[in-house]
Amino acid sequence: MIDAASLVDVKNGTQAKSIFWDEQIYQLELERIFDRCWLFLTHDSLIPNPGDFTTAIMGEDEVIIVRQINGSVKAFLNVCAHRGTRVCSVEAGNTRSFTCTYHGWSYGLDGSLQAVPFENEFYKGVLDKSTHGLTEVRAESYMGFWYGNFDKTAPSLYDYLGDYRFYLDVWMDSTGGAELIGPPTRTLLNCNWKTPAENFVGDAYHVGWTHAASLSVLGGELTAMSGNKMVPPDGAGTQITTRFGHGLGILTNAGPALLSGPVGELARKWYAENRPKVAEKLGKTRGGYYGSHFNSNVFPNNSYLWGTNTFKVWAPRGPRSIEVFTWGIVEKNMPDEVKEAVYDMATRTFGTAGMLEGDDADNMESMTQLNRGRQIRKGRLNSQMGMGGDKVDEESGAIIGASAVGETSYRGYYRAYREFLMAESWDDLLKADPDAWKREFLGK
Amino acid sequence: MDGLKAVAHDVYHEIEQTLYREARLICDERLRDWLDTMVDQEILYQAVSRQLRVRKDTRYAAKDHVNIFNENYHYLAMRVTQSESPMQWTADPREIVRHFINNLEVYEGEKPGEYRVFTNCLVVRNRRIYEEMTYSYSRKDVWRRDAKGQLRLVKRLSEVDERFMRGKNLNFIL
Ligand code: FES
Ligand SMILES: [Fe+2]
Repeated sequence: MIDAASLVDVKNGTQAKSIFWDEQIYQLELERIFDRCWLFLTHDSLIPNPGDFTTAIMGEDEVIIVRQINGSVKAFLNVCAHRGTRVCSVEAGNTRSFTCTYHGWSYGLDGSLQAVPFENEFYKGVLDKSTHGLTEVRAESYMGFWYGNFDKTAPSLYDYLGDYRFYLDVWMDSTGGAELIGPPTRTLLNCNWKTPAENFVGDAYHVGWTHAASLSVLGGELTAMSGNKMVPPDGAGTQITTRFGHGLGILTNAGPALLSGPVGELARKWYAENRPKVAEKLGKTRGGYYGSHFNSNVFPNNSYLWGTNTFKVWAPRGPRSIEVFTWGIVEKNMPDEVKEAVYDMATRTFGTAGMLEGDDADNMESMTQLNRGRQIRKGRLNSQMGMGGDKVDEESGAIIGASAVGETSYRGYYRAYREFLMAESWDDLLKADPDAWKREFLGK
Repeated sequence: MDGLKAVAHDVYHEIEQTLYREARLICDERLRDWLDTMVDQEILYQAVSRQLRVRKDTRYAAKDHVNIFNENYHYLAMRVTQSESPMQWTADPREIVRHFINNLEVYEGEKPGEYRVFTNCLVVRNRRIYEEMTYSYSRKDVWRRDAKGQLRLVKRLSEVDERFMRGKNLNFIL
């Protein structure tokens, strides 16, 4: 039996190293996190028309997401109800049905079993087609971003995002919404799925050092941090964490971050034009956040960067490797020229040959693979930076850290991680009062 | 054949030697030499990965490929400078990117002194202690003679075979 409580020490800001390695812990994560949480599927922009579909991975389960005739969206497990073959072996497309390649059972867009070859001749009435449709997965969207959930008792996506929406809206809502640019790249990393998630949720600390070389050549606001030559000054940003572990870090006014030359000018102009409108729509605080650089993660494994415009899913493949899905993310109302320019830079920085993407991989892999060693695996991970400086932000309801660089969002991520692993069910998770997590986090 | 005009044997040989030289410079980490002596200022250096679709699907409108590289001279030079930084931790200790270049076809290009070059490439990349990765891809190049008669790379489009990239990333010159 795993002692889930001991894996994370909320009060002291540490975690057990075994969370990056242990098979039993991983199985518990699949059951208590991936079976329960809202997991990213696709975006409206990738399935605009009836019959359009994409595939995705929730935990280790393959799913299909398909636009219905009436414009709604349904998700299904990508598996045939007969003998368990994949019903969709491509990644995206437009179709009228999904036909299994084994014996030819055919399913409608709504998942119902429509046709069975030689149904009368071979089954002679014993097969109940009405109970052999594709298995539907609960799917909901926020601002066009579709997420799936295997747990019928889970709160709505809207409530699951909770206070995090305050920050999400800065980009997802403010100038008319966001959209993804596909298809995604798909790559392997030999790391635990949490190692990139924790990095994206709250690691501004590594930027100047891990990425020293790439920052030094790219230009843009972050160049000054290359080689840790500059400490972000007070007020340069903050870190934020919320109830279910969603979190982010903001580097104020560093939106185009890595964009120099004409691309940087385009992006800065767009931000400058839109900031007053965002302030008007969402208030002064968020007007100030708009145009900043955001590193963010929706719990458990969906990360994105605003300003560097990359959107990722870290899909686990066992405890020690992952499949990385990477899309571009842009504001819908950006002129095409701006969209193309920032997406091109997102490819250059965080795509398959991304100038920064490659830098991160070695860290994530070694912090996973070293746990092969029993002695190393017994150790603890430290995320204490900024402890004591965290407080509740009255406007958003989230907990925010005192500076741009710190580990507040790490601690919030792992506080939630522990709570999910320990809870028997969503009922169990939701029985505490809504502020209990803040008292736990702040040690009060 | 495909309206392509094969080149004379000596040109074929010259291009072949040029490709081998390029591979050697990359393997020896002489990327600055590669850029200075083999790359044209007008370079368009691209690599793509293709999403898997049903062959006959014509109704799905979204583009079916994603760029891995989409570089002009400015950005290629940026990458070369990055590789030279003493703070590029991923390249220290050194990594070895060894090209095996095959199936070479050379045809006359659109203009005199321009050549269309098709190759298949296998790259074996070794880095750190435990990592060895292989990559298989096709290249469609255009090479052009500069004023001094030196062949320079003007265009390269690489199509990477593996959709799910087990080699983690393509942070090297393809
Ligand atoms: S397994 Fe799908 S039709 Fe038989
Ligand atoms: Fe990073």
